[in-house]
Amino acid sequence: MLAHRAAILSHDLEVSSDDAAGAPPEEDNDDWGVDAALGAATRAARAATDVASAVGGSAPARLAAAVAKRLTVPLAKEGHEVRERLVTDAGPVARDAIQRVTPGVIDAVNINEVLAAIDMDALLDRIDIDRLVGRVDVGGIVSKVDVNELVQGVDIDGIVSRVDVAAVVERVDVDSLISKVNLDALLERIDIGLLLDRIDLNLLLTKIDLNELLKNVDLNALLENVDLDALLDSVDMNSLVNKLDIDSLVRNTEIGSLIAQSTSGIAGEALDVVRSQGVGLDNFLNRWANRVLRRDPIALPAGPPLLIELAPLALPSGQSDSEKAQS
Amino acid sequence: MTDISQRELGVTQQGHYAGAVSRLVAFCCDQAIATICFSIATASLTYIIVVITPDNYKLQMPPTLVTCLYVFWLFIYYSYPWSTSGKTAGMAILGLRVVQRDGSQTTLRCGVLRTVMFPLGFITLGLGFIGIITNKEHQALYDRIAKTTVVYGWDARGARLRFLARNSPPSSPDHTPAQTPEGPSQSD
Repeated sequence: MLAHRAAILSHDLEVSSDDAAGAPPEEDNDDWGVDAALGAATRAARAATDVASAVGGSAPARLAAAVAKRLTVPLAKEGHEVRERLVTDAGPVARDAIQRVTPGVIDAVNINEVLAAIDMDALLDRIDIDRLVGRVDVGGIVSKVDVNELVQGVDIDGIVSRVDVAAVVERVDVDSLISKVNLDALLERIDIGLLLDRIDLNLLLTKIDLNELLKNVDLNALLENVDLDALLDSVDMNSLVNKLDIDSLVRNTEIGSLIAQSTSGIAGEALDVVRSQGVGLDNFLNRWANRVLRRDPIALPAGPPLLIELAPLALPSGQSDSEKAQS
Repeated sequence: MTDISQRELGVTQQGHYAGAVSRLVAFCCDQAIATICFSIATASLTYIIVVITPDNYKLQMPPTLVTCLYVFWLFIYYSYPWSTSGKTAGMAILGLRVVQRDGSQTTLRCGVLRTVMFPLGFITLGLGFIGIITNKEHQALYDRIAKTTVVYGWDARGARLRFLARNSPPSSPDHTPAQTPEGPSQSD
C-alpha cells in the first residue's frame, strides 16, 4: 500500500517535472545523487507495483512481497523521509502554484457559457423547495421586519396609479368569487338601519323612472303573493268609512234601495212620518214664537253644546247651524 | 215647505232642542201608556183577588189609595226612564230624549228631581210649560229646576239613509248628483 502511494507520488512528480521543463534544472546538480536514488527507488517501486498488481494476491506473491518488504526496509525508510519532506514542502509550492494558475483559469473560463450549459430546470427539479422553505425561520424574519416603516416607504398612490384596474377586474372570475362569499354572514354584519340613514331616498326616487319600472312589474303575480287578510287587518276601516260620502253612495247606487227594502218597515215608516211631522210643527211654532218675541233664530242655540258638536258624526251630511247661517 | 223637505229637516235636526208639539204629543202618549198599564194592572189585580176570595167578598179600594198608587206608578214610570236612558215610551215614539243642559246623559238625581218637579207645570196653571216656547233652550219650569232639557234623539243616521233611499232616483250609469231634485247634496 505504501509502495502504491509512493508510485503515485513519484508519477505525479515526474509529470509535473516534465510539464515544467522536461529536464532537471542545472542549479540543482549538487543533489544529483539523491535524485538518482529517488529515481531508482521510484522505478523499483513502480516495477514492484506492476508485478504486485500482475501476480495479485497469490501465496507466492505474498511471500515475495514479504521478503521484498524485509529487504527494502532501509530503502523504505529513506523513501519515507523523502516523502515527508515532499509533503512538507509541497504545501507552499502547491499554494504558490495555485495562486499563479487561478487568474489564468478564471480568465479562461466564460461564466456565461458555463451557466448556459447548466440545465436550470433539471437543477431546480432536484431542489426540494418544501424542505428548503421548511428550514427557513419565517417568524424570525418577520419579527425583524418593521412593517410600519416598510409600509410608510411604499408609495401606495404610485402603485395604484400604475395598476390597470379594468384589466384586473376583467381577469377576476366574479361568479367564482361570489360563490365563495357567505352572503348570510355578510348580511348579518350589515347595519341596514345605518345604511338606509345614509341613503337620500328622495334623490334616489327622482332618478327612478317609475313608469318604466311599473311596465316591467307583473301585477298579477305580485297580487297573488299579497296576503289580503293581513293587509285589510292593518286598515282602519272606521276611518275609511268616515271619509266616504254616504249620501252620494246611497243616492247613486243600488245600496239605497237595498237599505230601504231592508229597514223601512211599516212601523219605521210611520215613526219617521210622525217624528218628521212633529219636527215640522215644532219649527212652525218656534218661528212664530221668535217673531213675536223678536228674536233672531240664527243667534239662538240649536241644542246642547255636546250634541251639536257631535252632530256631524251622527249626520253624515247634515247641515250645522253655522253652515246654515253662512248659506 | 214640502213634505220631503220637512222630513229631511227633521232628520237633520237631531240633537237640537225639541219643540212644544213633539213634547206635548210625547207626554200624551206617555200618559196614555201609563194609564193603560195602570188600568190593566189594577184590573188584573182585582180579578185575581175576586177569583181567590169567596163570593161574598167585595173588593172596595179607597179612591185615595188608588190615586196614591197611580201617582206612585207615574213617578216610577217617568223617573226611572229619565234617570237611565233619558226617554220614556212616548218620548221614544216621538224620538225625544231628556239630557242635561250641556247635552250629557242624565243622572238619577236629574231624573228624580225632574219627575218630582214636573207637576209644577200644572200647578202653575200651565205657566210652567210656557218656557218650552219662550225659553232659548226650550226649558220648562221643571227643566230649569232639574237643569235638564229635551232634544230630538232618534236614529238620525238610519232615518237619513231611509230618507235618501226612498227619494233616490233610479240608478243609471250617466246619473250624476247634480241631477237630483234637491241638488248634488243636501248638505251643500
